[in-house]
Amino acid sequence: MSALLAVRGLTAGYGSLIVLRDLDFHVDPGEVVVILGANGAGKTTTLRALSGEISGEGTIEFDGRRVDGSRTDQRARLGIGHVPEGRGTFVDLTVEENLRIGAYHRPAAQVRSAMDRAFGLFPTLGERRAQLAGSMSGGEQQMLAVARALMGDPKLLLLDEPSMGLAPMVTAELFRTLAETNERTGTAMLIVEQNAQIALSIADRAYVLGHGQIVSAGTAAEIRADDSIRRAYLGV
Amino acid sequence: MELLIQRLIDGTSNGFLYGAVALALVLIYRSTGLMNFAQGEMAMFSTFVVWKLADERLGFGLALAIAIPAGIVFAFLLGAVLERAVIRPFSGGNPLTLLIVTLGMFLAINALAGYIFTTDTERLDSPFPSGGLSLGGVTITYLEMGTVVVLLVVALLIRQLFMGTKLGLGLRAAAMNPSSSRLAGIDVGRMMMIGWGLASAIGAIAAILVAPVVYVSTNMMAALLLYGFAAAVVGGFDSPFGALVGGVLVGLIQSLASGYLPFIGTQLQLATAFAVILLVLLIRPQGLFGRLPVERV
Repeated sequence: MSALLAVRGLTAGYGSLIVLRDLDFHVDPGEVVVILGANGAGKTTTLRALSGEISGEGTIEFDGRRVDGSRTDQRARLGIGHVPEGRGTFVDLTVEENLRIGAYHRPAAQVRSAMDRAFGLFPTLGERRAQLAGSMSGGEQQMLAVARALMGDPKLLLLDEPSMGLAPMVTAELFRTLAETNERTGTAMLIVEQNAQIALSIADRAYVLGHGQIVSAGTAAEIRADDSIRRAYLGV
Repeated sequence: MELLIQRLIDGTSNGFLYGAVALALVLIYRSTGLMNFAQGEMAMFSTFVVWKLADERLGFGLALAIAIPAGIVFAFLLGAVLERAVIRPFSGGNPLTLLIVTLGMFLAINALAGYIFTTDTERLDSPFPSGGLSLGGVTITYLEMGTVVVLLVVALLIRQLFMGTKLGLGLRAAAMNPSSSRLAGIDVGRMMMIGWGLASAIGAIAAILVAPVVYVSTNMMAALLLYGFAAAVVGGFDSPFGALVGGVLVGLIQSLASGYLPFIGTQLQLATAFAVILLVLLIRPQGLFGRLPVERV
C-alpha cells in the first residue's frame, strides 16, 4: 500500500530560523499517527509546513501528488484538513456558519449530509447550531474545530494539540470521538500532542521529535514501552 | 416649516451618498483592515469612464443605459486589479505602509485621470428626469428620489450577498480570519479581490449619482470622500449598517448646520464634517454601531 502522506527531507522554519531539519515520515491511509515531543521540538511547525502555512525544502507527497509547491487553500481542497493551534474558530459567526465554512469547497448537495454527520458525532453542536461560536466553552470550540475540519471530508486530518486547555474528562471524550471518527470514516490522522498517554492510546504509530529531528519512531505500543524515550522526551 | 422639511430632504438625499461612500470604505476596512484613501479617486476615474462612453462631443455618445452599467463593471474590475497588483504585495506588512500606498494610489489615479481624460470640468447627464415633485413649498427632485432608491436597493443587495449567499459567507470568513479560511480551502486572495471590486463598484455608483450636481472632474470626489469618512466614523468603521446611518446623520447635520447656523453657511460646510469626525472620535471612538477592537487569544 502506498502512503497517503510521504514527507522526505523536510527542512523548514521561520525566516532564518530553521526549526525542522531533514524530516522523513509518512502516514498510511486510515492510520492514526502521533508526533510527540517536548515544547519547542517543532511539532506545530511540522503541521504548518504540511499545510503550506510556512514554506520549506524537501518533498511532500499527498495522495499520489506533490503538494509542496501548492498554496494552503489548494492543499485543503485536495483533502488535508487542519485543526490549528488555538482552534481557529470564527468567533463572530454561528456554529452552523463555522461548519459551512469547513465545507466551503464542497458542492451544496453534500453539505447537508456532512452537517448531519457532524451533529451525529458532536450532539452538543447540533443543539447550539445558531449560537455564536465565540460564546462557547473551550471544549465545545475544540469540538467545533474538529467538526469544521471534518466538514471538508479530508483524507488526512492534522490536529495540533487538541487537548490544550481542556479538562481531562473533556479531553478523554474528544479522543474517543476522534477514534470513533477514524473507525467510521477511515480518515487518517496526524496528531501533535503533549498528552502522550492519551494520544498513544488511539494511535497506530508514533514519531518522537527532538530539536527538529525525528529521534525515534515505532508503533504506539513500542513507544509506550520505551522507558528512555519516556524519560527523555515525554516527561512522564 | 417648509424650509425645515426641504433641508431634511436635501440632507437625507446627500446623506445616502455619504453613506454609500462610507459603505465602500467600511467594506475594505473590514476585509483588509485598511482605510482606503484612494476610494474617491477610484470612483472618480470610473465616472470619467462613464462620461467618456456617453459624451457626444468628446466621447463615444453611447446611451447612459449602456455607459453606466459599463462604468460600474469597470469599477469592479479596477478595484479587483488594484487589490491584486498594488495592495497584495504589501499585505501583512506594516499598516502604515499600506496607508501610504493608498495615498500614493490617490495621487496616481488623480493624475492619470487628468492625463487620460481631461483636467477640465465636464457634464454628465442625470440618469433620472430633470425636475421633481413639488408639494407646498417643498421640492423633491427626481435625482434625489432616484439617489435614495438606488442606494437603498444597493445596500439591500449587498446585505443579501453577505448574509444570504455562500460567496458572502466566504467573504466574511476571509475578512474575519484569513489563516483559518485558507485551512478550510477558501481562496482568501480571490475573496480580497472580490471585496475590493464590490467596494469600488459601490463608490462608483455614488459618484455617478452625484456627478450631475458636482460635475465630472478630477477633484469631484474631494468633498464626498471627506463626508464619507465622517459617516464611517459616526457609524463605526466596522459596521456596514452604521455606514449608511452615519451617512444620513452627517447629511442631516450638514444641511441643518449650514441652514440654521449663519456663520457656517455654504463656505464652512466641509468643516462640519471635520467637526463631526472630531466629536465622535472624542466621545465614542468606535462609532455608533462599531465595536472596540478586542484582543483575541
